[in-house]
Amino acid sequence: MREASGQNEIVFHEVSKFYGEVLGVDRVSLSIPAGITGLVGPNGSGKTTLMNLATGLIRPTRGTVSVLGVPPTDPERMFETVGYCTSFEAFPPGATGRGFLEGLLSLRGDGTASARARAEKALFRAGLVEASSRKVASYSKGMKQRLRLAAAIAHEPRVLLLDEPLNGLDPMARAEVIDLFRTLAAEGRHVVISSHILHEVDLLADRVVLVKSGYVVAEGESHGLREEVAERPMQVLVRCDLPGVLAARLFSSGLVSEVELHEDGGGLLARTRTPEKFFLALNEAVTGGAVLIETVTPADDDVKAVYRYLIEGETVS
Amino acid sequence: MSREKRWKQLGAVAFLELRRLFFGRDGLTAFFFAVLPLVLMTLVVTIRRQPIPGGRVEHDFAILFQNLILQVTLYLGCVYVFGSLIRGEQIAKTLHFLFLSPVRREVIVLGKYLAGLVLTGAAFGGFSVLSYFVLLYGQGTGSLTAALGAGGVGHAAAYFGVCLLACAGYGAVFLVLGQWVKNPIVPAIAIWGWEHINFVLPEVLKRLGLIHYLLSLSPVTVDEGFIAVIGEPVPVWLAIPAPLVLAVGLVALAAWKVRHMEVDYGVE
Repeated sequence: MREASGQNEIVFHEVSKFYGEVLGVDRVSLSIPAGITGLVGPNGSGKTTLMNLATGLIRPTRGTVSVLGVPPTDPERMFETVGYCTSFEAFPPGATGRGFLEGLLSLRGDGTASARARAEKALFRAGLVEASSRKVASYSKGMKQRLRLAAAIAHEPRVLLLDEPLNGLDPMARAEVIDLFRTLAAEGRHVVISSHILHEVDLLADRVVLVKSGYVVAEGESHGLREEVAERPMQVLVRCDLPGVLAARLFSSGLVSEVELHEDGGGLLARTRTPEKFFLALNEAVTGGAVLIETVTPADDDVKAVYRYLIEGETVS
Repeated sequence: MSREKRWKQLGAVAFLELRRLFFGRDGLTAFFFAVLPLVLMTLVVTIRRQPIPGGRVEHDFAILFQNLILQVTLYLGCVYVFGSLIRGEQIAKTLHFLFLSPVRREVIVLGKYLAGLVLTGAAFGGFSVLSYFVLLYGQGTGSLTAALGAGGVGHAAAYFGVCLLACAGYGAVFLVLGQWVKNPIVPAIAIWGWEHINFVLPEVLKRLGLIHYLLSLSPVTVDEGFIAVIGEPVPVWLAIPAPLVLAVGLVALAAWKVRHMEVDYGVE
């Protein structure tokens, strides 16, 4: 059982949230350490609910949440260390980008000079200095997203929660923002990124949490997630000189459930439920001189494959 | 957290709220209501060629103050401003910016309430006093100076003070209504009706209306008509603190409500 008072982690302990009779999330237990964590799932899966629970915007129906040991019911302590970039699109009327940030910093007790300096730094990091004197109402969607990001990082929090932070950004901006996330994580911060776009998270995150219909269906290091779906066959691509021979050998040993031979005759795609034994069998085939193996590649050892297995219920072809 | 920092935060919340009100529809609506009596007074003075007979000026302004300003324009202005302090930000989906700051939610409520009070108090108090001065000025050369010398300054101060108390009391009512009711206009109309029939209520029930305390502080007494139930005015030592006590209680209730409030704007 996880401790609900982790001093260096974001901890969800048996957390459930119901909106009336509608399920938000159910019995979620998670401990999120420093580094980049991806929260992945389709729209409506509960990603935003988890982030809102962590920051106290909503309260759990059951269970407890804490961020670095601080409960969300203590905003004075919590938001000294937490920055949350929400997916809510609105901004207060009439404000410029800089004025908006300085206003938020003044809420933290910053004086004028301090607020100005910290706002400037956040605007620079978010790449929004040039537009900072314009009214927010005139900003593009991407600029508003950058401004939300700047607001979340302006007080240099130890924990950053980012809800779909790459939405609305052009490719250049995405690259810059992703670099920023990596820099922030390298500084020892917790960076939690929610997304339904898998490849973004797959590239970025040290750890991935998959969410579906309010439940955490898998969690772990990006590549380690494969173990979370042990009941599903793993796909392995093998390039070799005698794929037919290898396929027969694997079938006879009962280690594969399905094999597809490549049309070019130079390899096969095998599906196995016992990957460790499968790889041992491959080694034996090589050392016994039965086949000459060129490459062995897990065909689905990435978040996308696991996502398909767990979220979409598909078999990867 | 130090007390000094909390005061700073309170000031910052109030400043941001004032900025929001200045740029928002609700603040402009309140300003429109506040300036209306001044426009009316200016028109009356301009159109009416002859001065109002001596002694009637104070009486006529008191009628305008009690019936138009206190019971219509100020009341409606408070509905718009205070009713939108929390509800308005929920509708605009901007409340989370405050809730994601290291500020106690009680401080947020208090800061917003004070901003509303500053705005409405300054606008309704200021324009009421200006309307009073315009009416006095319209009675001929030197009439304003003469009237001010004969107790007019005290009357002006009293009108300003009554406006402040009215904004404090009604403001707290609508702050709470804005949190509990999705459309505060309906209960606002019900309360408005209750305040309007106050003059025909028996003595005991009169005291359940804020207007009774406010009228007791009005510097000039106005005859409420033949169907009015004549009641003793509330003494000053009670009439001043009563709206303030009501305000403190309701703001505390609003703070409790906000402390338990959730923000999701219907997402997920």
